[in-house]
Amino acid sequence: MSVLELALLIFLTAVTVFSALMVVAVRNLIHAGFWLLPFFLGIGGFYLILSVEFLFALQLLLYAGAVMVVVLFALMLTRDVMNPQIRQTNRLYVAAIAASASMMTLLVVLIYRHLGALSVPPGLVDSDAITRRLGTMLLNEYVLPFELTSALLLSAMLGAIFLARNPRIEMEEESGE
Amino acid sequence: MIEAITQFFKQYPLLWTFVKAVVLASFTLVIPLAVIYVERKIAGFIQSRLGPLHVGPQGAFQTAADALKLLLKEDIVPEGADKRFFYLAPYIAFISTVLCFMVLPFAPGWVALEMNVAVLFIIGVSLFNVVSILMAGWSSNNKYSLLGGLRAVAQLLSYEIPMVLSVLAVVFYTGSLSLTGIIEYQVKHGWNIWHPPIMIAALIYFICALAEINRTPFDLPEAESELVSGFNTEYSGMRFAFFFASEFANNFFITAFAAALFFGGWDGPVLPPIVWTFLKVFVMIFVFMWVRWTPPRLRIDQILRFAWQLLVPISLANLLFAIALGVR
Repeated sequence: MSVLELALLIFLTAVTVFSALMVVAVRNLIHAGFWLLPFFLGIGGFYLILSVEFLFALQLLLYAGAVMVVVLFALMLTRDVMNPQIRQTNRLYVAAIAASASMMTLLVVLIYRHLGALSVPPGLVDSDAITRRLGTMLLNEYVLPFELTSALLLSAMLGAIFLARNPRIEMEEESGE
Repeated sequence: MIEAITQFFKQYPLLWTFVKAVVLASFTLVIPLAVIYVERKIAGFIQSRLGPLHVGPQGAFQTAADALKLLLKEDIVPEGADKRFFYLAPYIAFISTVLCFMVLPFAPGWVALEMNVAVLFIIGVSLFNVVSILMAGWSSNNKYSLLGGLRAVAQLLSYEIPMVLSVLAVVFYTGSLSLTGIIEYQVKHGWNIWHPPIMIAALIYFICALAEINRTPFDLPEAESELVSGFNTEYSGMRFAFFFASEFANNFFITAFAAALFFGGWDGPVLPPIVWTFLKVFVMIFVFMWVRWTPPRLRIDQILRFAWQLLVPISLANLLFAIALGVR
Protein backbone atom coordinates (compact mmCIF):
# COMPACT_ATOMS: atom_id res chain seq x y z
CA MET A 1 0.00 0.00 0.00
CA SER A 2 1.46 3.32 -1.05
CA VAL A 3 1.69 6.39 1.15
CA LEU A 4 -1.05 8.08 -0.87
CA GLU A 5 -3.44 5.18 -0.38
CA LEU A 6 -2.70 5.07 3.34
CA ALA A 7 -3.31 8.82 3.66
CA LEU A 8 -6.57 8.44 1.73
CA LEU A 9 -7.63 5.56 3.96
CA ILE A 10 -6.94 7.55 7.13
CA PHE A 11 -8.79 10.54 5.72
CA LEU A 12 -11.81 8.43 4.74
CA THR A 13 -11.91 6.74 8.14
CA ALA A 14 -11.76 10.12 9.88
CA VAL A 15 -14.57 11.54 7.71
CA THR A 16 -16.77 8.46 8.15
CA VAL A 17 -16.35 8.17 11.91
CA PHE A 18 -16.67 11.91 12.52
CA SER A 19 -19.82 12.31 10.44
CA ALA A 20 -21.35 9.19 11.98
CA LEU A 21 -20.74 10.70 15.42
CA MET A 22 -22.23 14.00 14.27
CA VAL A 23 -25.38 12.24 13.05
CA VAL A 24 -26.15 11.01 16.55
CA ALA A 25 -24.72 13.97 18.49
CA VAL A 26 -26.20 16.97 16.67
CA ARG A 27 -29.37 18.31 18.31
CA ASN A 28 -30.92 19.70 15.15
CA LEU A 29 -32.49 16.71 13.41
CA ILE A 30 -32.23 18.24 9.93
CA HIS A 31 -28.49 18.78 10.45
CA ALA A 32 -28.23 15.16 11.59
CA GLY A 33 -29.90 14.14 8.33
CA PHE A 34 -27.47 16.17 6.25
CA TRP A 35 -24.50 14.72 8.15
CA LEU A 36 -25.51 11.34 6.71
CA LEU A 37 -24.21 12.50 3.34
CA PRO A 38 -20.45 12.58 4.17
CA PHE A 39 -20.95 9.35 6.10
CA PHE A 40 -22.41 7.49 3.12
CA LEU A 41 -19.80 9.01 0.80
CA GLY A 42 -17.03 7.86 3.16
CA ILE A 43 -18.33 4.29 3.07
CA GLY A 44 -18.47 4.55 -0.73
CA GLY A 45 -14.85 5.70 -0.70
CA PHE A 46 -13.83 2.47 1.03
CA TYR A 47 -15.44 0.46 -1.77
CA LEU A 48 -13.53 2.57 -4.27
CA ILE A 49 -10.20 1.96 -2.50
CA LEU A 50 -10.95 -1.77 -2.63
CA SER A 51 -11.67 -1.16 -6.37
CA VAL A 52 -15.20 -2.55 -6.19
CA GLU A 53 -16.61 0.15 -8.46
CA PHE A 54 -19.97 -1.59 -8.71
CA LEU A 55 -20.61 -1.40 -4.97
CA PHE A 56 -19.35 2.19 -4.96
CA ALA A 57 -21.91 3.18 -7.60
CA LEU A 58 -24.66 1.32 -5.74
CA GLN A 59 -23.67 3.04 -2.50
CA LEU A 60 -23.99 6.42 -4.23
CA LEU A 61 -27.28 5.50 -5.85
CA LEU A 62 -29.05 3.81 -2.94
CA TYR A 63 -27.61 5.37 0.21
CA ALA A 64 -26.11 8.75 -0.60
CA GLY A 65 -28.91 9.37 -3.11
CA ALA A 66 -32.20 7.67 -2.40
CA VAL A 67 -32.07 6.74 1.32
CA MET A 68 -30.60 10.09 2.27
CA VAL A 69 -33.29 12.08 0.41
CA VAL A 70 -36.12 9.95 1.77
CA VAL A 71 -34.80 10.34 5.34
CA LEU A 72 -34.59 14.12 4.90
CA PHE A 73 -38.04 14.23 3.35
CA ALA A 74 -39.48 12.29 6.29
CA LEU A 75 -37.68 14.61 8.73
CA MET A 76 -39.15 17.69 7.09
CA LEU A 77 -42.65 16.30 7.52
CA THR A 78 -41.95 15.62 11.22
CA ARG A 79 -43.09 18.01 13.93
CA ASP A 80 -40.60 19.96 16.06
CA VAL A 81 -37.37 18.88 14.35
CA MET A 82 -35.47 22.09 15.10
CA ASN A 83 -36.20 22.15 18.82
CA PRO A 84 -32.94 21.71 20.81
CA GLN A 85 -34.92 20.95 24.01
CA ILE A 86 -36.34 17.76 22.58
CA ARG A 87 -35.03 14.53 24.17
CA GLN A 88 -32.51 12.61 22.09
CA THR A 89 -33.51 9.19 23.38
CA ASN A 90 -36.82 7.45 23.90
CA ARG A 91 -37.77 4.62 26.23
CA LEU A 92 -36.34 1.99 23.87
CA TYR A 93 -32.74 3.11 24.40
CA VAL A 94 -31.76 0.04 26.43
CA ALA A 95 -32.91 -2.27 23.63
CA ALA A 96 -31.16 -0.08 21.06
CA ILE A 97 -27.88 -0.20 22.98
CA ALA A 98 -28.17 -3.99 23.32
CA ALA A 99 -28.90 -4.41 19.61
CA SER A 100 -26.03 -2.22 18.43
CA ALA A 101 -23.59 -3.76 20.96
CA SER A 102 -24.41 -7.29 19.79
CA MET A 103 -24.11 -6.22 16.14
CA MET A 104 -20.74 -4.64 16.88
CA THR A 105 -19.50 -7.77 18.68
CA LEU A 106 -20.64 -9.94 15.80
CA LEU A 107 -18.82 -7.77 13.26
CA VAL A 108 -15.61 -7.59 15.31
CA VAL A 109 -15.57 -11.39 15.79
CA LEU A 110 -16.30 -12.01 12.10
CA ILE A 111 -13.65 -9.60 10.85
CA TYR A 112 -11.07 -10.87 13.34
CA ARG A 113 -11.63 -14.49 12.31
CA HIS A 114 -11.38 -13.79 8.58
CA LEU A 115 -8.50 -11.33 8.81
CA GLY A 116 -6.36 -13.49 6.52
CA ALA A 117 -9.01 -13.84 3.83
CA LEU A 118 -9.71 -10.10 3.78
CA SER A 119 -6.19 -8.89 3.08
CA VAL A 120 -6.53 -8.66 -0.70
CA PRO A 121 -3.99 -6.18 -2.03
CA PRO A 122 -6.08 -3.26 -3.30
CA GLY A 123 -5.81 -2.24 -6.92
CA LEU A 124 -5.04 -5.75 -8.16
CA VAL A 125 -8.55 -7.19 -8.25
CA ASP A 126 -10.60 -7.33 -11.43
CA SER A 127 -13.73 -5.35 -10.58
CA ASP A 128 -15.74 -6.93 -13.42
CA ALA A 129 -15.06 -10.41 -12.05
CA ILE A 130 -16.15 -9.30 -8.58
CA THR A 131 -19.44 -7.92 -9.93
CA ARG A 132 -20.13 -11.12 -11.87
CA ARG A 133 -19.30 -13.31 -8.86
CA LEU A 134 -21.49 -11.14 -6.62
CA GLY A 135 -24.42 -11.56 -8.99
CA THR A 136 -24.12 -15.33 -9.37
CA MET A 137 -23.61 -15.86 -5.63
CA LEU A 138 -26.65 -13.74 -4.74
CA LEU A 139 -28.88 -15.78 -7.06
CA ASN A 140 -27.40 -19.23 -6.31
CA GLU A 141 -25.82 -19.87 -2.92
CA TYR A 142 -27.43 -16.96 -1.09
CA VAL A 143 -30.79 -16.92 -2.82
CA LEU A 144 -32.71 -17.74 0.36
CA PRO A 145 -31.36 -14.85 2.50
CA PHE A 146 -31.68 -12.60 -0.55
CA GLU A 147 -35.36 -13.43 -1.01
CA LEU A 148 -35.99 -13.26 2.75
CA THR A 149 -34.53 -9.75 2.78
CA SER A 150 -36.83 -8.68 -0.02
CA ALA A 151 -39.82 -10.17 1.81
CA LEU A 152 -38.75 -8.26 4.93
CA LEU A 153 -38.50 -5.00 2.97
CA LEU A 154 -41.89 -5.63 1.38
CA SER A 155 -43.53 -6.20 4.76
CA ALA A 156 -41.88 -3.02 6.09
CA MET A 157 -43.32 -1.13 3.12
CA LEU A 158 -46.81 -2.54 3.70
CA GLY A 159 -46.52 -1.69 7.40
CA ALA A 160 -45.54 1.89 6.56
CA ILE A 161 -48.52 2.27 4.22
CA PHE A 162 -50.82 0.83 6.88
CA LEU A 163 -49.50 3.24 9.53
CA ALA A 164 -49.59 6.22 7.19
CA ARG A 165 -53.16 5.88 5.98
CA ASN A 166 -55.68 7.74 7.99
CA PRO A 167 -59.02 5.85 7.98
CA ARG A 168 -61.08 8.95 8.78
CA ILE A 169 -59.81 10.98 5.82
CA GLU A 170 -60.26 8.04 3.47
CA MET A 171 -63.87 7.58 4.52
CA GLU A 172 -64.53 11.28 3.96
CA GLU A 173 -63.02 11.07 0.49
CA GLU A 174 -65.17 8.08 -0.38
CA SER A 175 -68.38 9.69 0.80
CA GLY A 176 -67.45 12.93 -0.95
CA GLU A 177 -67.00 11.37 -4.36
CA MET B 1 1.71 20.63 -29.47
CA ILE B 2 -1.43 19.12 -27.90
CA GLU B 3 0.19 15.70 -28.26
CA ALA B 4 3.25 16.85 -26.31
CA ILE B 5 1.13 18.32 -23.52
CA THR B 6 -0.93 15.11 -23.26
CA GLN B 7 2.28 13.05 -23.17
CA PHE B 8 3.66 15.22 -20.38
CA PHE B 9 0.55 14.93 -18.21
CA LYS B 10 0.17 11.20 -18.77
CA GLN B 11 3.34 10.68 -16.71
CA TYR B 12 1.44 11.99 -13.68
CA PRO B 13 -2.00 10.32 -13.71
CA LEU B 14 -3.25 12.14 -10.62
CA LEU B 15 -2.33 15.57 -12.04
CA TRP B 16 -3.83 14.57 -15.40
CA THR B 17 -7.16 13.66 -13.78
CA PHE B 18 -7.09 16.97 -11.91
CA VAL B 19 -6.51 18.90 -15.16
CA LYS B 20 -9.40 17.06 -16.81
CA ALA B 21 -11.65 17.83 -13.83
CA VAL B 22 -10.75 21.55 -14.05
CA VAL B 23 -11.45 21.58 -17.79
CA LEU B 24 -14.84 19.91 -17.30
CA ALA B 25 -15.74 22.23 -14.41
CA SER B 26 -15.05 25.22 -16.67
CA PHE B 27 -17.07 23.52 -19.40
CA THR B 28 -19.96 23.16 -16.93
CA LEU B 29 -19.78 26.91 -16.28
CA VAL B 30 -19.47 27.92 -19.94
CA ILE B 31 -21.98 25.61 -21.66
CA PRO B 32 -24.98 27.17 -19.83
CA LEU B 33 -24.14 30.48 -21.51
CA ALA B 34 -24.76 28.86 -24.89
CA VAL B 35 -27.82 26.92 -23.72
CA ILE B 36 -29.43 29.97 -22.09
CA TYR B 37 -28.82 32.09 -25.20
CA VAL B 38 -30.40 29.41 -27.40
CA GLU B 39 -33.31 29.15 -24.97
CA ARG B 40 -33.95 32.90 -25.06
CA LYS B 41 -33.86 32.99 -28.84
CA ILE B 42 -36.19 29.99 -29.16
CA ALA B 43 -38.56 31.35 -26.51
CA GLY B 44 -38.61 34.64 -28.42
CA PHE B 45 -39.31 32.86 -31.69
CA ILE B 46 -42.15 30.78 -30.21
CA GLN B 47 -43.76 33.82 -28.57
CA SER B 48 -43.28 36.04 -31.67
CA ARG B 49 -40.62 38.18 -30.00
CA LEU B 50 -37.04 38.88 -31.04
CA GLY B 51 -35.20 37.79 -27.88
CA PRO B 52 -31.86 39.38 -26.93
CA LEU B 53 -30.47 41.64 -29.66
CA HIS B 54 -28.22 44.40 -28.38
CA VAL B 55 -25.15 42.88 -26.68
CA GLY B 56 -22.93 41.45 -29.40
CA PRO B 57 -24.08 40.14 -32.80
CA GLN B 58 -27.73 39.02 -32.50
CA GLY B 59 -27.40 39.47 -28.72
CA ALA B 60 -24.96 36.56 -28.44
CA PHE B 61 -23.06 38.07 -25.48
CA GLN B 62 -26.20 38.85 -23.47
CA THR B 63 -25.88 35.77 -21.24
CA ALA B 64 -22.15 36.36 -20.71
CA ALA B 65 -22.97 39.91 -19.58
CA ASP B 66 -25.68 38.55 -17.28
CA ALA B 67 -23.27 36.02 -15.78
CA LEU B 68 -20.71 38.80 -15.16
CA LYS B 69 -23.40 40.90 -13.49
CA LEU B 70 -24.36 37.98 -11.23
CA LEU B 71 -20.74 37.45 -10.19
CA LEU B 72 -20.43 41.12 -9.19
CA LYS B 73 -23.69 41.35 -7.24
CA GLU B 74 -23.94 41.43 -3.48
CA ASP B 75 -24.21 38.05 -1.81
CA ILE B 76 -27.28 38.32 0.43
CA VAL B 77 -28.00 35.81 3.18
CA PRO B 78 -31.52 36.03 4.63
CA GLU B 79 -32.08 36.71 8.31
CA GLY B 80 -32.50 33.45 10.23
CA ALA B 81 -31.13 31.29 7.43
CA ASP B 82 -29.19 28.15 8.27
CA LYS B 83 -25.94 29.74 7.08
CA ARG B 84 -23.64 26.76 6.58
CA PHE B 85 -26.17 24.81 4.53
CA PHE B 86 -27.28 27.94 2.70
CA TYR B 87 -23.66 28.44 1.57
CA LEU B 88 -23.11 24.78 0.74
CA ALA B 89 -26.22 23.97 -1.36
CA PRO B 90 -25.30 25.63 -4.71
CA TYR B 91 -21.87 24.00 -4.71
CA ILE B 92 -23.33 20.52 -4.15
CA ALA B 93 -25.62 21.08 -7.14
CA PHE B 94 -22.67 22.22 -9.23
CA ILE B 95 -20.38 19.38 -8.13
CA SER B 96 -23.03 16.80 -8.95
CA THR B 97 -23.24 18.16 -12.51
CA VAL B 98 -19.46 18.22 -12.96
CA LEU B 99 -19.21 14.63 -11.68
CA CYS B 100 -21.79 13.57 -14.28
CA PHE B 101 -19.69 15.13 -17.04
CA MET B 102 -16.58 13.35 -15.72
CA VAL B 103 -17.78 9.94 -16.98
CA LEU B 104 -19.52 11.12 -20.15
CA PRO B 105 -17.75 10.10 -23.39
CA PHE B 106 -17.87 13.03 -25.86
CA ALA B 107 -16.00 11.18 -28.63
CA PRO B 108 -13.89 7.99 -28.83
CA GLY B 109 -11.32 8.34 -26.04
CA TRP B 110 -12.68 11.73 -24.96
CA VAL B 111 -13.81 10.76 -21.51
CA ALA B 112 -12.27 12.10 -18.31
CA LEU B 113 -12.79 8.95 -16.25
CA GLU B 114 -13.38 5.62 -17.96
CA MET B 115 -15.67 3.82 -15.53
CA ASN B 116 -17.19 0.41 -16.17
CA VAL B 117 -20.27 1.26 -14.09
CA ALA B 118 -20.68 4.77 -15.52
CA VAL B 119 -24.46 4.47 -15.94
CA LEU B 120 -25.04 3.63 -12.26
CA PHE B 121 -22.56 6.30 -11.21
CA ILE B 122 -24.39 8.98 -13.22
CA ILE B 123 -27.78 8.06 -11.75
CA GLY B 124 -26.32 8.05 -8.23
CA VAL B 125 -24.50 11.34 -8.58
CA SER B 126 -27.43 13.12 -10.19
CA LEU B 127 -29.41 12.43 -7.01
CA PHE B 128 -27.10 14.85 -5.16
CA ASN B 129 -28.90 17.53 -7.10
CA VAL B 130 -32.05 16.60 -5.17
CA VAL B 131 -30.13 16.83 -1.89
CA SER B 132 -28.90 20.30 -2.81
CA ILE B 133 -32.41 21.49 -3.71
CA LEU B 134 -33.73 20.20 -0.40
CA MET B 135 -30.82 21.85 1.40
CA ALA B 136 -31.43 25.18 -0.33
CA GLY B 137 -35.16 25.04 0.26
CA TRP B 138 -34.78 24.24 3.92
CA SER B 139 -31.94 26.56 4.87
CA SER B 140 -33.40 29.68 3.20
CA ASN B 141 -35.93 30.13 6.02
CA ASN B 142 -38.61 31.08 3.53
CA LYS B 143 -41.92 29.32 3.01
CA TYR B 144 -41.78 29.58 -0.78
CA SER B 145 -38.30 28.06 -0.83
CA LEU B 146 -39.36 25.24 1.48
CA LEU B 147 -42.47 24.49 -0.56
CA GLY B 148 -40.41 24.52 -3.75
CA GLY B 149 -37.85 22.20 -2.15
CA LEU B 150 -40.44 19.70 -0.94
CA ARG B 151 -42.23 19.70 -4.30
CA ALA B 152 -38.90 19.22 -6.05
CA VAL B 153 -38.03 16.18 -3.97
CA ALA B 154 -41.44 14.54 -4.38
CA GLN B 155 -41.33 15.11 -8.13
CA LEU B 156 -37.68 14.26 -8.77
CA LEU B 157 -37.79 11.05 -6.69
CA SER B 158 -41.00 9.90 -8.39
CA TYR B 159 -39.62 10.45 -11.88
CA GLU B 160 -36.21 9.01 -10.99
CA ILE B 161 -37.76 5.53 -10.76
CA PRO B 162 -39.23 5.21 -14.30
CA MET B 163 -36.12 6.96 -15.61
CA VAL B 164 -33.79 4.42 -13.97
CA LEU B 165 -36.00 1.57 -15.23
CA SER B 166 -35.87 2.85 -18.80
CA VAL B 167 -32.08 3.31 -18.57
CA LEU B 168 -31.85 -0.24 -17.19
CA ALA B 169 -33.76 -1.49 -20.24
CA VAL B 170 -30.91 -0.15 -22.38
CA VAL B 171 -28.36 -1.71 -20.04
CA PHE B 172 -29.98 -5.13 -20.27
CA TYR B 173 -30.44 -4.80 -24.00
CA THR B 174 -26.80 -3.97 -24.73
CA GLY B 175 -25.36 -5.95 -21.82
CA SER B 176 -23.11 -3.15 -20.62
CA LEU B 177 -23.05 -0.69 -17.71
CA SER B 178 -20.32 1.39 -19.31
CA LEU B 179 -21.37 4.33 -21.47
CA THR B 180 -18.46 3.78 -23.84
CA GLY B 181 -19.50 0.13 -24.10
CA ILE B 182 -23.10 1.07 -24.88
CA ILE B 183 -22.02 3.52 -27.61
CA GLU B 184 -19.58 1.03 -29.14
CA TYR B 185 -22.35 -1.58 -29.22
CA GLN B 186 -24.50 0.89 -31.18
CA VAL B 187 -21.67 1.73 -33.57
CA LYS B 188 -21.53 -1.98 -34.39
CA HIS B 189 -25.22 -2.95 -34.31
CA GLY B 190 -27.05 0.28 -35.22
CA TRP B 191 -28.67 2.80 -32.90
CA ASN B 192 -30.70 1.52 -29.97
CA ILE B 193 -33.67 3.75 -30.78
CA TRP B 194 -34.70 1.52 -33.72
CA HIS B 195 -35.47 -1.42 -31.42
CA PRO B 196 -39.09 -1.57 -30.10
CA PRO B 197 -38.41 -1.94 -26.33
CA ILE B 198 -35.78 0.80 -26.43
CA MET B 199 -38.17 3.05 -28.36
CA ILE B 200 -40.62 2.85 -25.45
CA ALA B 201 -37.76 3.33 -22.99
CA ALA B 202 -36.63 6.44 -24.89
CA LEU B 203 -40.13 7.90 -24.74
CA ILE B 204 -40.32 7.33 -20.97
CA TYR B 205 -36.82 8.75 -20.59
CA PHE B 206 -37.86 11.86 -22.50
CA ILE B 207 -40.85 12.50 -20.22
CA CYS B 208 -38.78 11.85 -17.08
CA ALA B 209 -35.94 14.02 -18.34
CA LEU B 210 -38.37 16.92 -18.71
CA ALA B 211 -39.38 16.37 -15.08
CA GLU B 212 -35.80 15.93 -13.85
CA ILE B 213 -34.62 19.26 -15.21
CA ASN B 214 -37.76 21.07 -13.96
CA ARG B 215 -39.12 22.12 -17.30
CA THR B 216 -42.73 23.04 -18.01
CA PRO B 217 -45.10 21.13 -17.78
CA PHE B 218 -43.09 19.83 -14.81
CA ASP B 219 -41.62 23.10 -13.50
CA LEU B 220 -43.40 22.97 -10.13
CA PRO B 221 -40.24 23.30 -7.99
CA GLU B 222 -39.75 26.85 -9.24
CA ALA B 223 -43.21 27.75 -10.52
CA GLU B 224 -42.75 31.52 -10.88
CA SER B 225 -46.42 32.42 -10.68
CA GLU B 226 -46.93 30.46 -7.43
CA LEU B 227 -43.63 30.28 -5.53
CA VAL B 228 -41.72 33.42 -6.65
CA SER B 229 -38.79 31.28 -7.81
CA GLY B 230 -39.11 28.14 -5.71
CA PHE B 231 -36.14 26.69 -3.88
CA ASN B 232 -33.72 29.39 -5.09
CA THR B 233 -35.90 32.41 -4.16
CA GLU B 234 -33.50 33.70 -1.50
CA TYR B 235 -30.33 33.22 -3.51
CA SER B 236 -28.54 36.11 -5.16
CA GLY B 237 -25.28 36.88 -6.90
CA MET B 238 -22.77 34.12 -7.40
CA ARG B 239 -24.65 31.42 -5.49
CA PHE B 240 -27.69 31.94 -7.68
CA ALA B 241 -25.39 31.81 -10.71
CA PHE B 242 -24.13 28.41 -9.58
CA PHE B 243 -27.68 27.06 -9.26
CA PHE B 244 -28.57 28.48 -12.64
CA ALA B 245 -25.41 27.16 -14.29
CA SER B 246 -25.89 23.69 -12.86
CA GLU B 247 -29.53 23.63 -13.99
CA PHE B 248 -28.69 24.47 -17.60
CA ALA B 249 -25.59 22.29 -17.63
CA ASN B 250 -27.87 19.49 -16.40
CA ASN B 251 -30.10 20.26 -19.32
CA PHE B 252 -27.10 19.70 -21.59
CA PHE B 253 -26.04 16.60 -19.71
CA ILE B 254 -29.40 14.85 -19.67
CA THR B 255 -29.63 15.17 -23.47
CA ALA B 256 -26.02 14.02 -23.92
CA PHE B 257 -26.84 11.00 -21.75
CA ALA B 258 -29.89 10.31 -23.93
CA ALA B 259 -27.74 10.65 -27.05
CA ALA B 260 -25.32 8.08 -25.65
CA LEU B 261 -28.07 5.67 -24.57
CA PHE B 262 -30.45 5.85 -27.52
CA PHE B 263 -28.92 7.72 -30.47
CA GLY B 264 -25.46 6.18 -30.75
CA GLY B 265 -23.52 8.94 -28.96
CA TRP B 266 -20.74 10.09 -31.26
CA ASP B 267 -21.79 7.75 -34.09
CA GLY B 268 -22.55 9.37 -37.47
CA PRO B 269 -21.22 9.72 -41.02
CA VAL B 270 -18.80 12.32 -42.52
CA LEU B 271 -18.54 14.82 -39.63
CA PRO B 272 -16.06 14.18 -36.77
CA PRO B 273 -17.52 12.34 -33.72
CA ILE B 274 -17.40 15.35 -31.36
CA VAL B 275 -19.53 17.38 -33.80
CA TRP B 276 -22.11 14.59 -33.90
CA THR B 277 -22.36 14.52 -30.12
CA PHE B 278 -22.99 18.26 -29.95
CA LEU B 279 -25.37 18.16 -32.92
CA LYS B 280 -27.53 15.48 -31.29
CA VAL B 281 -27.46 17.28 -27.96
CA PHE B 282 -28.56 20.60 -29.41
CA VAL B 283 -31.33 19.06 -31.50
CA MET B 284 -32.70 17.44 -28.33
CA ILE B 285 -32.29 20.66 -26.35
CA PHE B 286 -34.33 22.38 -29.04
CA VAL B 287 -37.11 19.78 -28.62
CA PHE B 288 -37.02 20.28 -24.83
CA MET B 289 -37.44 24.02 -25.24
CA TRP B 290 -40.18 23.57 -27.77
CA VAL B 291 -42.09 21.51 -25.19
CA ARG B 292 -41.29 24.02 -22.47
CA TRP B 293 -42.90 26.93 -24.26
CA THR B 294 -45.94 24.98 -25.47
CA PRO B 295 -48.04 23.20 -22.74
CA PRO B 296 -49.07 24.77 -19.42
CA ARG B 297 -47.95 23.66 -15.95
CA LEU B 298 -49.63 20.69 -14.26
CA ARG B 299 -50.71 20.30 -10.64
CA ILE B 300 -48.46 18.42 -8.19
CA ASP B 301 -50.97 15.60 -7.57
CA GLN B 302 -51.51 15.13 -11.32
CA ILE B 303 -47.75 14.93 -11.83
CA LEU B 304 -47.21 12.38 -9.07
CA ARG B 305 -50.19 10.24 -10.10
CA PHE B 306 -48.92 10.22 -13.70
CA ALA B 307 -45.50 9.00 -12.54
CA TRP B 308 -46.63 6.29 -10.15
CA GLN B 309 -49.77 4.97 -11.82
CA LEU B 310 -48.71 5.16 -15.45
CA LEU B 311 -44.97 5.53 -16.00
CA VAL B 312 -43.74 3.08 -13.35
CA PRO B 313 -45.90 0.11 -14.48
CA ILE B 314 -45.18 0.77 -18.17
CA SER B 315 -41.44 1.05 -17.63
CA LEU B 316 -41.43 -2.12 -15.48
CA ALA B 317 -43.24 -4.08 -18.19
CA ASN B 318 -40.94 -2.57 -20.80
CA LEU B 319 -37.90 -3.67 -18.77
CA LEU B 320 -39.10 -7.29 -18.94
CA PHE B 321 -39.74 -6.82 -22.67
CA ALA B 322 -36.18 -5.54 -23.17
CA ILE B 323 -34.69 -8.42 -21.16
CA ALA B 324 -36.67 -10.94 -23.21
CA LEU B 325 -35.48 -9.44 -26.51
CA GLY B 326 -31.95 -8.55 -25.32
CA VAL B 327 -28.72 -9.95 -26.71
CA ARG B 328 -27.97 -12.25 -23.76
